[in-house]
Amino acid sequence: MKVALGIASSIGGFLDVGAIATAALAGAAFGFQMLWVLAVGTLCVMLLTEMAGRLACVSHHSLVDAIRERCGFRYFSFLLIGELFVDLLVLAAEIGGVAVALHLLTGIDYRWFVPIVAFALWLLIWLGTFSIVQNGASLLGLITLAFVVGMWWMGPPWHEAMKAMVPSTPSHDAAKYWFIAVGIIGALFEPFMLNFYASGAIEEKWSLKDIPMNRVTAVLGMGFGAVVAVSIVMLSALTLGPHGIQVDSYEQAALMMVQPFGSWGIPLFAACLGIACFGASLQVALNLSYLFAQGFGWNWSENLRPHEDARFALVYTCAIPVGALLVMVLGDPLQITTFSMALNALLAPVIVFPLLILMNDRYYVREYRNHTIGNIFVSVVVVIAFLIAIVAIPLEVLGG
Amino acid sequence: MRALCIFSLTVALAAIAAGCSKSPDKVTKEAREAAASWGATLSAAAEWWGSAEVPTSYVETVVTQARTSLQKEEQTARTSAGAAAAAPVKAVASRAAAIAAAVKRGDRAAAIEAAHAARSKASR
Repeated sequence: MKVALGIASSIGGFLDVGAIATAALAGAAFGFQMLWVLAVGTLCVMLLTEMAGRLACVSHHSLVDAIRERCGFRYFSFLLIGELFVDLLVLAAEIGGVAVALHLLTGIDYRWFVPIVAFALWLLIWLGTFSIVQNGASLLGLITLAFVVGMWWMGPPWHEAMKAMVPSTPSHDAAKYWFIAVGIIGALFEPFMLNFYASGAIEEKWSLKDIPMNRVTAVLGMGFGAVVAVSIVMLSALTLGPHGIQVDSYEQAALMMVQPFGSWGIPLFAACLGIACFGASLQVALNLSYLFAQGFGWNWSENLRPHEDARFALVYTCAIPVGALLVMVLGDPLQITTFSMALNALLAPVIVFPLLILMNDRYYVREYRNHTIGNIFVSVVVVIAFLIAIVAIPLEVLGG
Repeated sequence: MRALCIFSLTVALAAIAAGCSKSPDKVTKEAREAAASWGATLSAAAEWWGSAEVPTSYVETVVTQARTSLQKEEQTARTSAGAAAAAPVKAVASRAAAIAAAVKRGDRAAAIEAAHAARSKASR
């Protein structure tokens, strides 16, 4: 059951609309060349997730709760504004992803599905408990293994995939390459995932004895997401790349499943996209509630009835329609996704650096502090992603 | 905190400035790439529809999406780089219309033929 939290976090925070979109973009445009970005990012996100879980196990603080306490309200208010903005965009992208999945299945304009998806999302959070959200997302999310099967079916050249694990620079379209790289890192480092994971650990009453299980959960959960994301890159490279198909829309990305699965391909892609995005939108909406409730000291738990934590319920009740409205107004869910993933990379240091401070603070984690190598590795990767994001966002606008 | 605000503003201004400075060559290249990509997409979708591997509603969706995207690309290319830059996009858009008509008639052979034409026009 505890590993389910890892897989649920992975389905939502790792394997969501962002990961599917950026992985498909990367494979179609650059073949296997960007696999190293996924490998480095995965290692980093495993470390971060483990840290967020360890913090919850030892201190019984969620990440936001501890950041507010350790860094003060001014810092927290900056984090709150940044994460509110980015999470709402991500929520819009996830709701849009589910709507596009339904559109692929039915042919009906995705906008018709947006309010229905938003209502279903709200209803599930309103009526459900944390275990329903977590186990439902984990169980249904297993369908994304279809990407792995599809990739296997295509018989990929493994030696080329292994070679692509070594960092390399592009021979063409450098702006696009780095923007996608930032998008991949942004899709992995979604700040909401870390707080959702830590909050989940508190919802499940993890304690010191759960520290080894937290490690296993972080590695297995994120490892699951990484295997699926790598499979999407490879499948996209093997099926879309040779045809010269670039991923400018989800309709194009869906074609990657036709070659391995024939007439099941489009429905399977739609199911994978829809379920992954629905799982993620549950988490983003819940995380917004966690963010406000933990930051302002309100009652919070998905396991409480809405009248017992009314302000917690109010936040997701407001956030979901705003997310739905954004996707209706901004249009093109893929564009919203790629842009919000780059913003995630910009926001990542704001949440990661306080986490590193907390993980070296005896008051919070006692003798369970971080090792130096882990601190350095995570800091370097996050700073690089942040710096690339600063350059890549203007470059992407420049490059269209 | 002030430094963070100044930094955010700088990033936003850089993005806006970058958005205002697309060269005609860049626009022409993008138009050609979009035409090639959508040509290949239409070709693959129509061929697979021809062999009943994708549903009719999906091909209709792809064709609609392609026409919308190509229309935007054509407009951008024409405005920024002239009619010659927009020509490959226009050619693929016309094949998209032919595929749409074939799908509407349920004529799989005509759709495949139009798909091949779309691919060859796009690669020119």
